Amino acid sequence: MKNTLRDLRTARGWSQQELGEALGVSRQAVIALETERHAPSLDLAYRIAALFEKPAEEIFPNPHRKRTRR
Amino acid sequence: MPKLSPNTEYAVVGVLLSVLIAILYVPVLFVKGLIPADMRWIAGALLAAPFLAMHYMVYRLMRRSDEFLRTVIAKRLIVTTLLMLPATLVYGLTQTFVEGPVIPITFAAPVFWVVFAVVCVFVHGSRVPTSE
Repeated sequence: MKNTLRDLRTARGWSQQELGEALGVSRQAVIALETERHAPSLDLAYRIAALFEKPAEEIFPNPHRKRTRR
Repeated sequence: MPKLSPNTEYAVVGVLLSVLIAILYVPVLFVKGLIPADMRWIAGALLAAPFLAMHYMVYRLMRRSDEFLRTVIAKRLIVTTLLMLPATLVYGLTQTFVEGPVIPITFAAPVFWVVFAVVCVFVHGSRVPTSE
């Protein structure tokens, strides 16, 4: 699933290990999320959103939402 | 003693169990004839115990892991089962109808874990098809 997790993490200067510890998941899970090899559960997506103080959909763009033309 | 990570614990105990199986399996098969008939179930149970412990270790690893690792392990187990079931089915049926070497059914257990180890090399993502 596409996401901005790597950008958010590097902006805070965290390593993948540190982010994993903050989220309560393994470093492998963080790597899998960043490389789009894992679609997170709603619970994990909300934990990530809470950690970065952003709406979940901002970090994980909803591929099912219709794009609105301006 | 420091608490081991789920992966480390599984790897360490898995290797110890594999060594235990190797140590127990061969001698028991060789001395089978020397064991009194009414005591042979003990030998069978003794050999089964480390295999059952391996199953428990996978269950424990899944319980202690995060959602990503849990999904990957589940995928690996499913792929291993999908490889093992047809193989044992074809071999079993062939053995029934054609005279061939008879392999004890208990060999399915060590072969399962060997296939699982091979599958682990190839399956390391949790990705499932989505409508993205």
